[in-house]
Amino acid sequence: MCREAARRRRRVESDVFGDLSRLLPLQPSIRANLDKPSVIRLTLSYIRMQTLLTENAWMSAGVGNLEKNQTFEGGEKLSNCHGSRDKEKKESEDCETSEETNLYLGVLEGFLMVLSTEGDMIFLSENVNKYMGLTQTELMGHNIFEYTHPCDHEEVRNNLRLTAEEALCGVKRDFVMRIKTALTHRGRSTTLKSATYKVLHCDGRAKVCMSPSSVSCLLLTCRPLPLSHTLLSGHTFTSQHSMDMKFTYCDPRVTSLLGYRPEELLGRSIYDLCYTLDTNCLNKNHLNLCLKNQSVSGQYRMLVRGGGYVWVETHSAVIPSVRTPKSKLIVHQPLCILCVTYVLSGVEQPFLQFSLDQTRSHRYLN
Amino acid sequence: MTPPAAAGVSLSMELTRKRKGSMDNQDPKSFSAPDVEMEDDENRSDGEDQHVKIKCFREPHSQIEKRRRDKMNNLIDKLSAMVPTCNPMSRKLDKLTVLRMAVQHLKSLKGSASSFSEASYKPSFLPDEELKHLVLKAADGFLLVVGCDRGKIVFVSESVMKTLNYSRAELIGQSLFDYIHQKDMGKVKEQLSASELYPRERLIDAKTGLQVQADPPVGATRLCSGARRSFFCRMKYNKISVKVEEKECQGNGSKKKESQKYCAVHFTGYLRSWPTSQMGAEGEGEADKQESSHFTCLVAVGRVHSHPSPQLNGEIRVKPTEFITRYAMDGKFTFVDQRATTILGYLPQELLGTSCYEYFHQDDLLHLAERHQKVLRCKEKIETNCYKFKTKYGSFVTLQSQWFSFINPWTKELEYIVSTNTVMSHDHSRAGCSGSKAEGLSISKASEDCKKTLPIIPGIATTPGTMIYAGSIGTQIANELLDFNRANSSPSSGNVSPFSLLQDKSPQTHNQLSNSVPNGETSDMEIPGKSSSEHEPQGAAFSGGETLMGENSQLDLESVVGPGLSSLSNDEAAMAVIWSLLETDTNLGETVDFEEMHWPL
Repeated sequence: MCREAARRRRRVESDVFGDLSRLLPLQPSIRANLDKPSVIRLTLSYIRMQTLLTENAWMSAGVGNLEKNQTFEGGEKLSNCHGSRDKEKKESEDCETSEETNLYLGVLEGFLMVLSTEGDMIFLSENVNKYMGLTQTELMGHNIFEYTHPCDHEEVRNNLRLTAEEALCGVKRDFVMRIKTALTHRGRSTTLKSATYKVLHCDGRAKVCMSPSSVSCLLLTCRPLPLSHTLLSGHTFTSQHSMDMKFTYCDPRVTSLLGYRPEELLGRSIYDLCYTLDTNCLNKNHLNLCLKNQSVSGQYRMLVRGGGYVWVETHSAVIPSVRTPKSKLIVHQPLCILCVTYVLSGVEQPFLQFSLDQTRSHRYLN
Repeated sequence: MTPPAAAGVSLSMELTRKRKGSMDNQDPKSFSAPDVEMEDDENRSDGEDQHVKIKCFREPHSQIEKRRRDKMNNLIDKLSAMVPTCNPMSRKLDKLTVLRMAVQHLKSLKGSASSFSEASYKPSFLPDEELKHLVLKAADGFLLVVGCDRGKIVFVSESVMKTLNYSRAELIGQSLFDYIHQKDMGKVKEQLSASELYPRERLIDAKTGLQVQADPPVGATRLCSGARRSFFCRMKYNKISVKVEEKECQGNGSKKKESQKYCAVHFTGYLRSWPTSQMGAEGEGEADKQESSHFTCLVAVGRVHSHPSPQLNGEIRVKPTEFITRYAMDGKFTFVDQRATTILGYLPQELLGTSCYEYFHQDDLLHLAERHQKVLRCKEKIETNCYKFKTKYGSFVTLQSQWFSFINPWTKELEYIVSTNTVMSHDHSRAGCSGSKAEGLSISKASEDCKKTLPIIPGIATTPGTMIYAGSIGTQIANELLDFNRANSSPSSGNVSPFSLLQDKSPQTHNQLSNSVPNGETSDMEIPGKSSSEHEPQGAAFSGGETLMGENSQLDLESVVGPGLSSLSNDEAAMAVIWSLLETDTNLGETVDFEEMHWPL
């Protein structure tokens, strides 16, 4: 008797779950394999994203938004949602948009993540598959802390914390974290059990959600930090450092960019060569390197030999020490830091000397 | 309600439980009759298990079940919070109801969007249009397509309005070079040069750190990694908007001429090539004739990076009446911000290499020396009281500074001291400045005392004699720290990672001075700075707090400041006083805090 009731109840419930899953934008093959918690997770994501979008339109219609240009975009969005349109036209436009979006994501070399302040991955763009080896539907709705390296949890938590003011202003976020990837180095998919960690550079901004049921969230683009860089002549140079960030090698292109000869830099600390206001930027970069093995600095200033400075951005990674031509075995120093530095600006304030070092050397004339 | 037979039952059994949170007193062995429970709104059935569940009452299994149920409960809770129709309900709803309401809600949402059942519509959680907007919003960027031969802007997304403040219409069809900073034009031309569609790529192999040559990929019309481009350039920023940071304009010679605002844009993208026959009315007609068969363009996302100085991570906020300096451990200037010149009159090169003590007013020497000593030993930011700094013209300007020691995260050694100096208004009396630390008061009292006992020669602040001794204060302080460090840290080579050192060292439990105040900003680890050990501690003074005071009679404040003073010469007396005052620093009892570090490699 009670078995029947139980079965009946389960069937009813399954039906409702089925109804729910059919209302979600899923490929039929995926839909068939979803378990119940996943259906709920994806439903949550769907509802949250809809809320986010309608709010976009609502806010941009001029209700107390800070950016004056929103109306332009908002107008477009509203007409997309509510206007009745020629179906063909819409389809062709959709095609274009789709291609444009694919262009974006391809060019961005990363995926989009919408993260709630509690750490739920509300939305992930489809190409997350390419970077994490797990599909959008597998991941959406889960909590990010299930996938990040435990040592990075605190940092992620700190970044997720938003005051009301920060959320309203769309405060920026920029951090590096390690995340599990089910891709091998060669790009093949494995399971989560044999997952390794990949270093992701996440940056974006906060987005406020006004409706009481929603929480504010972060819109982030997540890009794995590349381990190879395309170098074109000029404006970039590579360097190697010991773990304390003292130069152990520098490529000769630095001379035309910063004025130093490579040998002048050996043994010097990068902290000596930066503009003091940027100390924190470099410090954060260094810490990321020590803990996560890869980092990208923001923009900072490097002092040019003899006077002035340039704005630069550095991508770095910790690698096993490079075998120098002379030595074969390096036992005590297994690791070093490899940097690729992009010079962003010309020399600013060339005739002003800021540091003691600059007063002791003249500008390198080439 | 009789519990059904427990063991060996092969049908699946329902475990009923309360809806809220964790299971309190649920005994897996007892079951209520399911149909009775169903009517109860408080309970929810667990429909999760589709399979036949063999009941086994081993603890781990029930734990797994519990976790699964809790998770489901949690999800249902979240869902009921998100579904508007669930919200007004004063009582908790059961699972099924929540699910049904969610279905209704989704149906209502879908009403305004296109239906997912249409085969032609690609199902996705986010319409591409929206995704595009989100991506650009997150990235603060815009999509740009420019022809490679002449740099004509073929396409730009609307978000360029938000970033550069130009409308699409203004930009499309224009030459990109009209919007790029003059000095970056060469760089951009280089990036666009289609002849280098497959440049000799120099890649860094992560394993060896060496540059390797990449083979040019096959197929001219495909987007492929060989055609990747990544560069920064400065782009014009339309000035109509309000966001102008005046301080960034200071001294930017070339920019000032045009009074044009630029922002740094990071472009990443690909070169893409199409056969010209496929090109529609994109406006590149004439140009294509040069390129016999292909139209090449750069497709890139431009992300705007605003200058970091106004958006610093909070540590150093600089206002117009502030300037930044950097000191070596001994107080010598190693970096001076150009703003110092307008305030102090000196050019940076006049200050660099000299000791800060040469410029401090005599009255302030003691308290600043004490602060100096303190900043070398703790990781917090130290605030000085107001003090007078001698300008080039002989007058004094009142400053207040915030100092902190910047420690290299790897070696834990001091790199330098950063000083943020604020100008206080000139008629600000010293008494008015906040220097609210308790020991500050006691020290200033002591300095009052010693001022009385020190024979003061009028004009001492400007005599060379004073300057010489003043300069050596900083050196003395630095030496003390070095001596102390040598005495208290074990010898180690500079190359060994502090991370491995941790495992070898037993946590030091006695009171230690050095850099052990946990400070999340600078470092995660707390071990004393490493330095090779040389000789016995000379300044054994610093390794303890109150315990020390009794040990060495030299350090007894009374005996120095008191009667013995008058027998010393001017300089010696002053030095002695300073020494003694430094040694009364009471904030010495920090414990060293070690953390377990996980070293991934």
